[in-house]
Amino acid sequence: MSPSVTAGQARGQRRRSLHLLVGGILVGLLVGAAVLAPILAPVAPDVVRPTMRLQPPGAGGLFGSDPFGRDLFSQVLYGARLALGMSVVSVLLAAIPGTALGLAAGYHKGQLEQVMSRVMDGWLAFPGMLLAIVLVARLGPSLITVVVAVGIVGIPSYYRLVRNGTLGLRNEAYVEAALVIGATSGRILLRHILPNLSSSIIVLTTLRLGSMLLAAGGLSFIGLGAQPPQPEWGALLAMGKNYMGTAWWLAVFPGLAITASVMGFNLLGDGLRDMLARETAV
Amino acid sequence: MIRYLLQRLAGGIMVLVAISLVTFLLLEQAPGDAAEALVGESASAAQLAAARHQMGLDVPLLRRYADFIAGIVQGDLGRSLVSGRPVTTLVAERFGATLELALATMVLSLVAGSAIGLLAAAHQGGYLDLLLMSIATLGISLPTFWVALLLILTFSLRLGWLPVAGAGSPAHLVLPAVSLALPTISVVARLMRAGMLDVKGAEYVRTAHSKGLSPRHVWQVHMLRNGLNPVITMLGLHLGHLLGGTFIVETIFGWPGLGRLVVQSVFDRDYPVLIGAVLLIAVMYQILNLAVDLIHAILDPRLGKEAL
Repeated sequence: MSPSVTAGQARGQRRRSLHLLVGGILVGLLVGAAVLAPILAPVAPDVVRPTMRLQPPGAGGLFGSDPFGRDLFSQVLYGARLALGMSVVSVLLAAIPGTALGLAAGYHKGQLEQVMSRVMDGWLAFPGMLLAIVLVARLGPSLITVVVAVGIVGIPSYYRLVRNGTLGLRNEAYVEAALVIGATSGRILLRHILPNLSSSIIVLTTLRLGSMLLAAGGLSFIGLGAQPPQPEWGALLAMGKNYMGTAWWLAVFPGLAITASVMGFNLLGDGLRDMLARETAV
Repeated sequence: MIRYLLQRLAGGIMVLVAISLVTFLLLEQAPGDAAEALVGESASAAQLAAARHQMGLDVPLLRRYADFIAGIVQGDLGRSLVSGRPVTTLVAERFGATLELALATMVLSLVAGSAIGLLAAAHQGGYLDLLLMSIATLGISLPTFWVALLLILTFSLRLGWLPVAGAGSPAHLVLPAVSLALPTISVVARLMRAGMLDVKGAEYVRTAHSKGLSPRHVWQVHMLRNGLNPVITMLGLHLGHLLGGTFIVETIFGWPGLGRLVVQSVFDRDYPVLIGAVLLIAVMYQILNLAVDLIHAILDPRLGKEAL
């Protein structure tokens, strides 16, 4: 099909560029904040200043200060390091094994696939948060417990998506054609099936990067994840909850930081998705 | 079909046994046990041993697991180490509240999410699409607990329209359900749109158009059914997050459901209650996953033939 540029396609392209641009800026801000936190932070995030308790934004620094007089802006900046590290590590822990197992199971049906699918069912029967909670009850609340738990919990999402996709694709004519000319299983999976699943995998990864941040923040918020004085954004919000009536900034800025970061990942992935969908369609 | 169902049921029961074993082993070997939590750190070794004996914690591990499984078969999940009440009663008391919240959230999510996704797909590349998907992207990115805080701040503290926390009236349900549904609405909307666009260029859709079927017919019969596939696949997974995630919302809003019970029992190290609540949620998952697989097989005959 020769592409003729219509008004709709032109708008789609603008939207794609916009997504990539805004997403790139937001993720860039997150990475920048994480890398440059020591330079950008006006005060170290853990410096207690008795004279600066609960100061509003302006007098108490860009984002105001907390009940201990710590600078909220500095805390949020250092929180970016935790957020970035947590999301990337946990997604890798989920994506690599999940995709590999899904490809294998979808292509080589039979007992292996049956066993693997049962194992994944069991995995799925543990909702991420619940397994994290069981692990927290076992290992004690910590940031690392949460990252590992949420990462491992993400494996079946990739497995199911990739397995279902592979099942649907393995009877396609081009897969049979590749078989006929003598391509190996590995080549068929990597060159013919995986590329056709890449846009789905990217959409899922986008959601996972965000959901990891949300899960870790949520667990920290109810006291089961990162512990004070770690400036994890969820833990900061937990403190803010207790001062909602008097110090709104404590309940607002850490949440904004989470939202902006998650949205950055989502927009970036969305833009990439549209781009990749176009490439695979041609 | 019936054979497939039976197979899945048998598999599901095995999965549940595995989960109960994993949960039991993980929690039974936890460093500080409930006896310590009960008698306090200053208690003597004799007091601790007495408390352990009274709670039945001095019996060997496998024996306790065997007793536990035997108990489940008889509908007995043991007693709470804190209140001494039967776990079955505690869990049953909380189940209804969680189900109520989950159902309200699902209905809200599916109706609103599908409508937004279809509307966006119909106007692909247009400004309405851009607007709706921007809102959906924002919705996915919003942390549930932050939304909950902002909603309480606005509608409870500032405006005084809705209660801050608790349960018992429809008004109590509004803020928790909206907090929970917002991300799910966005996920459904995005997947619905993506699913519709994936099939838009398919040959059978082009064929349907060229043989003169009305666009409405093509959308409803040829596209919607296939476009729903990714929604169904992901919804099964997202349902899990939803049910599991309710405990944050339940904790914030003081909603008397299973989620809050789980969190409380972690803090109390009340392992029988924790294990009971975890198992009940696992059972709910098994049922939901089975339902999603069946719907998927019905909607996508390519998978259906292989699965059945």
